[in-house]
Amino acid sequence: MIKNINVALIGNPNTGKTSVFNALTGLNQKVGNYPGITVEKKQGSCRLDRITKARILDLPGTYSLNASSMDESVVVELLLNKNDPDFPDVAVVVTDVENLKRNLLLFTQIKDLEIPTVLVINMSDQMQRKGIKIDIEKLEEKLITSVVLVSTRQNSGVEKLKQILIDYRSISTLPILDPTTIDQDYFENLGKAFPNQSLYKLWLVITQDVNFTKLERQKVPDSTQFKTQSQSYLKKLQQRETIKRYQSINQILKETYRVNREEATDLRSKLDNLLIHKFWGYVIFFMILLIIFQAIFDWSSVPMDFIDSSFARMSEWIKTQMPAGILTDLIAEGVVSGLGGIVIFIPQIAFLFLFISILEETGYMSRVVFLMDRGLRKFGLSGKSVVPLISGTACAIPAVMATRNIENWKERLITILVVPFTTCSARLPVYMILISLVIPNDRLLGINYQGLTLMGLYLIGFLMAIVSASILNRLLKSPNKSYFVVEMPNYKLPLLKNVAITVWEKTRSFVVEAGKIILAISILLWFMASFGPGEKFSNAEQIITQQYSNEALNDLELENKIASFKLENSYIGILGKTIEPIILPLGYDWKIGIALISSFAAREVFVGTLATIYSVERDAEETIKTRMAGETRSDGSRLFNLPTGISLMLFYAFAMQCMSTLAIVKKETNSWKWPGIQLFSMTIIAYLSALMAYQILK
Amino acid sequence: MEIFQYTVAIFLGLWALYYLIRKFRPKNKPATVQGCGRGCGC
Repeated sequence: MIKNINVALIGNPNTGKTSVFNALTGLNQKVGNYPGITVEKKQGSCRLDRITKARILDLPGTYSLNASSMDESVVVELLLNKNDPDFPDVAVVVTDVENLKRNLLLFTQIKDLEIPTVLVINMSDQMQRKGIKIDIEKLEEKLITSVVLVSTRQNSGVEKLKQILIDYRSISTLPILDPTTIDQDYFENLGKAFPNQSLYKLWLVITQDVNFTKLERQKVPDSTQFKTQSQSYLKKLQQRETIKRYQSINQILKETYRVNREEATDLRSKLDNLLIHKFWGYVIFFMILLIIFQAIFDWSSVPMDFIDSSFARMSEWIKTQMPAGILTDLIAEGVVSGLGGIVIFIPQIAFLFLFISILEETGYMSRVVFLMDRGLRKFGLSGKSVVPLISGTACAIPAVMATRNIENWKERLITILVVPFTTCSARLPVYMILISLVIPNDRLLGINYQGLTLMGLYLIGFLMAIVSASILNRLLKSPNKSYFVVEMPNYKLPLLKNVAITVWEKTRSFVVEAGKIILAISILLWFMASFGPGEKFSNAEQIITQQYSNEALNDLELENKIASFKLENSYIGILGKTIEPIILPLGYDWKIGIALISSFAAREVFVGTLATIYSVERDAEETIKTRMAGETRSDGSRLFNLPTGISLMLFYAFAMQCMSTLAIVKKETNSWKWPGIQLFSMTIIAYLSALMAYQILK
Repeated sequence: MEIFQYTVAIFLGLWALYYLIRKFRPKNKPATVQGCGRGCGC
């Protein structure tokens, strides 16, 4: 008489489950759908020995029993329903030798359902190449089950698996995790209410949205009463369950699983050895950064100059073509100059995101995250802080939002507070224009000083974030720690389409979002610069003509003098002059002061503001760069010299010059306290560093 | 022509003012889309 047994193959996606299924069933398989849903149901049969036949069910891939998709629900429903004709006599959990840690989460959950569960470690042929060693006996002892190393490629281990399946009754059904360690009160009460039920099964019934009609409902009639706890509390318990499981998995693998990367021979491991090396990993990362910043300067200078001169020509053209009047002046001096201040930076932004997306696409960015994680933990930042810190190089707003997945409030708060130090793309225009004005375009050993300065500014921002985190870590107290798992994707060639989409999206949003703000601010600034209170403004022409009547000035010189005098006595001039005493020690004049105030809305407004202010005062055909380079102090020396430039760059590196970031920090922390502290402390740091830089260098 | 230029310029000025005020005024979002700020994921 033939004995039939049901075997369920379960595993994470991409663990080679289907290969094991094929190796067991050969051609004896059929594919259908689960009733009512379009989830594929694969079944096959396998003769284990003369008298035992196995009906093998290949269940959809799932990462855990905390189902989040229909595919995963199929697995949970089947494993909880003993009356289902497919209910397995034995479960085979297929894992991938390289990702055993992640795969064991699902294994421990299935084992706790008290079904005989076999652990298959697939792709065992990779072990030597990857430098992996596993103590199988000890692993069997710790997991209280049978473990089989299988390689479907080398057709090894399948016969041993068949033998274990024949003898499945000898496999222990003892659970691995005691649910009362998750929450003693909750699970003890659950046990008292349903004394003859498995606690873990009850827990799954309560937390999973499974189809209750299929369950043994008569045995758990009031399972819903245990839903009295709020959804968020149940979610918290689920998280605690996952953490408990990973803690025990970590401990087991510490004793049984070794990866010696130095012994690994495959290309990926060799590359990983180098790219995440304790020393060379950082060297390579900094070399890549250096190349990126060099390229940004070298490649973008031609389009940048072209755009700059085009806008200057456009402004001049508008002045000559449109009838003279207030609107013509507003468009030529306000709108066009202001917009020129943003469009000019399209090439740099596009190149920056081109490089970032290539690094992401190739899989290198995950290695950077891993590399940084190792370094950051010492400074009180979570491994999960790395992603917000890296995405902060694009914009602090999504970066602050990305901190939501940090469970530990202290680590999350520290990350939120230090993220604005990382150099966002809005700082790039300010840095670019100042670097091109004050840093010589020379090279040393082929390295451009300008690119090097830009890289230095990115690093200084990151360094300040780490130092601040370290200080905050000492000031704020919290007993908990969060866990961080990063999966290293395989290396691959970047997909051109994905890169192009990222570059387009980022550049477009930079131009559209910042462009609208800059346009609005430029218009208001123009009004404030073109009108003023009192006699001085309205009689500017008369006053200046009288003042210089003894000097032989030509018409153009006289016109410039009048324009400067008017600007000084305009509304914006008065505002700038009011704050001048505070910023004078930093090497800034009142016009830069205006740019500092207006760029509080968004940092990139700085260049647009100066372009607008100078265009009211100077010739329209001049480019932004020449206007800024031509600015002088009262003693005739250049305003934008090295001390002022460095002082300004440091100010922008550290100051919290972004209203939108403050708003999002308020939203995420639900109080004005933290954005207030952030604004105050960052402004103080920025002011002091700028002051020191100017006073030392001048 | 001068009146036209003044009208359009003032309109642009008012638009700029309106846009900036609208852009940066604090928004009161419903509580469901706000985190409680204690890091509990609610």
